[in-house]
Amino acid sequence: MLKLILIVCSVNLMASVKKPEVFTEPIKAKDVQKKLVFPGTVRSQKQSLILAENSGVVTRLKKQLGYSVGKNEVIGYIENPDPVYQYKPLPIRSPIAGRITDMRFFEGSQVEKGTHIVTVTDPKSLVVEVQVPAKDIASLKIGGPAEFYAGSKYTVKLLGLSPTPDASSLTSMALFSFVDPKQNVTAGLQGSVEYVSSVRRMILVTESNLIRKGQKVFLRKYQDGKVAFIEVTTGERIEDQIEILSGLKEGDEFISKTAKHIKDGDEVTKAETTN
Amino acid sequence: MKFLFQNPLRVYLILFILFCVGLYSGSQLPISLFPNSSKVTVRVTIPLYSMSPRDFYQDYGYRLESQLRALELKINTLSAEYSYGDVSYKIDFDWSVGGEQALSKVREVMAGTSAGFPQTMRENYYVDKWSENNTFVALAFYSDKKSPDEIYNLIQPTLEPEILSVKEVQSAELYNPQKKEIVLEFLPEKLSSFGLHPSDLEGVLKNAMREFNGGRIEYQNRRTQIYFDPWIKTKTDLENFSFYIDQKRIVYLKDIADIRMGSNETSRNIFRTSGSSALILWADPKPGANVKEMSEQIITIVNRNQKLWPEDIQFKFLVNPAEFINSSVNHVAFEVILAAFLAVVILFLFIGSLKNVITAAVEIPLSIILALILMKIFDMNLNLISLGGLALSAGMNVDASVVVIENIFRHLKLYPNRSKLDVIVGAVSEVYQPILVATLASLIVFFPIIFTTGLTNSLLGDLAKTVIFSHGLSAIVALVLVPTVRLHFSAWFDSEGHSPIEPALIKLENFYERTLSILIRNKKLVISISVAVSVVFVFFLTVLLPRLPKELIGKPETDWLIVITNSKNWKTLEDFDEGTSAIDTHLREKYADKIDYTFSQMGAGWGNVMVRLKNKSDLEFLKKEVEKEYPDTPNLKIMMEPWNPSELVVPNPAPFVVHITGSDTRKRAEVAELFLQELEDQDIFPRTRIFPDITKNYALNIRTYRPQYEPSAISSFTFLSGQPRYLMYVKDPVTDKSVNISIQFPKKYTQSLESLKSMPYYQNQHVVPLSAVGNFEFVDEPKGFYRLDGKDIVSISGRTEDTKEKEKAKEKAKAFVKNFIDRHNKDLVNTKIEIQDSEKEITDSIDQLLTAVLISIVMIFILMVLLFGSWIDAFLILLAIPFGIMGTILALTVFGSVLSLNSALGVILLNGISVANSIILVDFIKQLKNEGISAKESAIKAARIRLRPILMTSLTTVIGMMPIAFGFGSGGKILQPLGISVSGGLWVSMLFTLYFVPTLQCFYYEWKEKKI
Repeated sequence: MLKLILIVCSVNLMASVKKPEVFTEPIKAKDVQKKLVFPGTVRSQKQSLILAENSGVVTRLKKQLGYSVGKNEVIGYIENPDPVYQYKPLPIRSPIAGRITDMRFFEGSQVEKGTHIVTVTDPKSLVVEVQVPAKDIASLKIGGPAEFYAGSKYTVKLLGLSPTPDASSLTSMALFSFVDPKQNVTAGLQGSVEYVSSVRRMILVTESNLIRKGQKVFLRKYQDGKVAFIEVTTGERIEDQIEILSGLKEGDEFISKTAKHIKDGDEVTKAETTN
Repeated sequence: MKFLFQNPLRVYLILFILFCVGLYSGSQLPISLFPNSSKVTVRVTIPLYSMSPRDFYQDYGYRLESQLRALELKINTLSAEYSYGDVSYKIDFDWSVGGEQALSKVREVMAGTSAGFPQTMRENYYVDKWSENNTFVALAFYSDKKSPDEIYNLIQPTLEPEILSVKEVQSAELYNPQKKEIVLEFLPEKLSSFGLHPSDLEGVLKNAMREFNGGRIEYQNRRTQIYFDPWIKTKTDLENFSFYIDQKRIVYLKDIADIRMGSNETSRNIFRTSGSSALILWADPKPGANVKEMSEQIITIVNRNQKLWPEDIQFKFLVNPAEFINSSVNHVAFEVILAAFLAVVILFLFIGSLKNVITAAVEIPLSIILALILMKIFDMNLNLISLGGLALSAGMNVDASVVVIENIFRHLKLYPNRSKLDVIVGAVSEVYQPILVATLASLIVFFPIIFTTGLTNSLLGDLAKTVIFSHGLSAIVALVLVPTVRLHFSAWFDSEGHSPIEPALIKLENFYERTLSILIRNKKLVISISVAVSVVFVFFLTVLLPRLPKELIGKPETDWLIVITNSKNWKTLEDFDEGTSAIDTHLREKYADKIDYTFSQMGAGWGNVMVRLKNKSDLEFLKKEVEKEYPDTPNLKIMMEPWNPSELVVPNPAPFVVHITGSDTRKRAEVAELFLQELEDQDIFPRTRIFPDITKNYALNIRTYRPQYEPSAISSFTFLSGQPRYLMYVKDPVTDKSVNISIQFPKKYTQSLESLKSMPYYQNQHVVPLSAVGNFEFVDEPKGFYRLDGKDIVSISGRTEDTKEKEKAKEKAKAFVKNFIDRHNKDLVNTKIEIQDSEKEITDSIDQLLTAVLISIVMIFILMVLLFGSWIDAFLILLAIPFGIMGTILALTVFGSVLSLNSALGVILLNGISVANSIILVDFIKQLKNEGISAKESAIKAARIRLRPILMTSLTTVIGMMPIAFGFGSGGKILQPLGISVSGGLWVSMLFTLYFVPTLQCFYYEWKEKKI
């Protein structure tokens, strides 16, 4: 008889329903940065596009592409061979010190007055040029710090920003200067500039934790071994996270994962968090 | 008849020729797993590229749907799933529609409609046919030393072409889950610095991969073709490919894109066989092909090729139809032999002469072989169902011979001085009519089944035909061969037999005669018993029958178990591989004595382990052990189910389905979400499903600033961010292998909204971030929408595997729906929630079968009236049927079986068999009465004389059904309810026949005499 009772009891024990296991997470507010990211290219801040001051033939080239030139140094001469004019050959001078980065003629080339014939760039004063969408202009402040990522990370700051967006692209040019001018960057390097526009303290939860019933939104709060569906109001969405404005406060625990469907009032067991 | 029996050689020759024709026909019959009939589904998939699903529906979809619905063929359902990325149509045709016909009609519609599609859509939609009874061959090739690529390169060149050359093979592929392709990853920063968009390059690249016709010239008096070879054939060609920018600068493709060999991230899989990397070979048969032969040829080819491979490359079968088919054929052969043996035993016990018994037993295989001729004529094949029919008829086929032999014996004793020929002719003349009538009655019940349609015919049509052929021919063999042999070899045969249980039989006959006499002389007793039996009958019908679990058809045993793994922590293919492989390894190590091998397959988002057991009987044990070891946790969920590729696919709809219709997509999704939540709270169904997926996976809506940024230009740009897109393929001139080329942007730009917005985009000589093109906002937009038969719906279903609880769950769910509608009345404006009759096809099939049962009873009645010329006689004969049904219900309840199509078929079969015994009795009573004997004496005498043949035929049928009732063999579970129905029902109907038919007949004749 005793054996029979034991068997019946053990059957009953086996038949009792196991509480579902759940994982919980604490509600925590954190500082959330709003970043603006723009593709950027490094270029020299000082650059001179030299135009031909007269028409004629290029003669006596003194410098070639890639050569260094000093301020006012002569690069070459333009002569008009027409005997009617008998002008002296006009020198082509560089208004800035730098290097010749573009040369659009050869010795003997015919050039017209006003055409772009040489570019001289100062390789030392480098900036990062970005195009800023018109809607983001107000978020930028002159002198504001940013990070330029191009393989390595460089600290930059906003040097200048055009207040008038280009009508065809709806963007304004902005220049960021390197905080450390000795940094090893070269003109033409491409990367992206990250500018932190604002920081706000927010409570965020992953969207998949929200339970929607019609128009109402709920989070499952873990309370004294039970599930409590708490109605919450939501705010902004940041990637896959949703801001919680009200309903739960810091320190509360909510259920993030569960093996089974659970409803309001169900008893649950908190599981050990594993990988 | 004398003419026939006097010329035995003629009989032997005809039967021998038919026997040979039967063997030849059998060898020519295609062998497959399932009957030829199957239900066809045609699927159409159209990639949408940058078009939204709603736009596609408005521009093309609604017209396409109406054209598909207007097809001249009968369509059951037309469903359409519109989602971002593609739209897919699923057309479920009726059972009566042929597969090729359906496919061709849908292709015609698509050819017409797609003319208006954008070019890329027009060139890339596809139409395919899927039949539920698709059978195929699958093998896994694996090695613990080589990668899938190495295995593929070693075995593919010879293996795949050889398998494709097999006559029965329609298509075959050695699938490398990590097949490499050329990935062209455009670098947005480089593209934008050159002022380029990917769309600028796609056309140029495609042209460079095409061959061009350059016309013809007259060269040396010959017309010579000019053509331009594709410029790009290899990866190197791609890297060296250059093009002009602004007609000035030359840019190389390698400067603006990363070109590499890689796997397509979205379709990459990992396969492992017992832990080693593996590939899969698939082979599909042609429609109507001999699947067994196809499987065996493939096995031969693989075995032959294996000798050429390194030793570390092994293979295992995942699906081998030949194995199932051989097992079924062996099982049928076993059942036939067993039935013949048991019939011989029973006959020997009654007749007592082995020589005489053998004559009867020969009929079993002979009638089966002759049936093969008719199967060939009617274009059938040998499959699980038709073979089951042959096995079923094995026990029944000996009945006619038994009656003939028994009557010959009786006549030999009665007329010892007559010539053997006259005795035999006399004996056969006496029984040929009841034999033919009884056989006809047994078979007529099946005729309605042949004319059923759809699911019923698919499952039972072949079975009905084979029983009719085999059993019908058995009557002819019994009436022709048995007497001929008996006469021809009369010296060899024993003149009479002495049953080893003769004393017991005599005692039984005496007991039967006494008890029958008591019954006949006691009308009040008869009435009381009749009333009691009627009450019991009503009780069985109203109480026991509804409680029987219901299913459409049983499932055969299997030695495969699928373990499906899922974890919320696993995101990538590598995560699924690691997690699933760990479970695979653990199972193989712990249960090494039970597991033969495993095959695991993983993708990004799914994984499973297919476990092949050494013994089918270990399946339940292993399932329970794994359930204990891996209970559901928030991190890991495991589902398990038996898998049997040889299973006849039958509809398995969820018992509870609701459709939510009306209003707009967003509102429907909202209502569906709320409904599902509350339904799950009720805990009525362990499994619920919602379709389409309405999870709030927000869509990113980009509202561009026009006119600067056109949505079409931006969409073609962003399209490459999400996933690789197939561009074209090139054929390597050295290896002659085709290699796909896909284009994409680097994945880093889609890791977050922030990174997507920062993507460089070239706009009018500026490189701007993508955020400049417009407003980016996540919106609560459902992924797409689903239409069924012209209506936008969301479908929610609930399922339980517990067949006993199913009806209760359905009732609870219906009450819940009503309650939900009442409580949320205000929220449901313009939205409807309707419960669907999801099991309509099954209900219709069962209704059809029940109609067939009723028709068969009516047909038997009409036949009896025609033959006996008396509706009272016909009615008395038919009274055996309700008693048979009682016995069936009792047997199904006692043995824990189910009410299924096969048990209903068993009732049909039983109707035919049980009336056969009544016919024999009624006919003989009538004969004796016509000879002037009194009603009582006729009844008692006829009953006593016919007791032995009735016992013999009933026992041979019942015992012949035993192997089926026990469910032996791989397909045993399918026919088991049928075996239980017939065996159980026949006992009860036999008892009724032996007692009540003579009694009631006697009462009728006495009443007639009084009337006169």
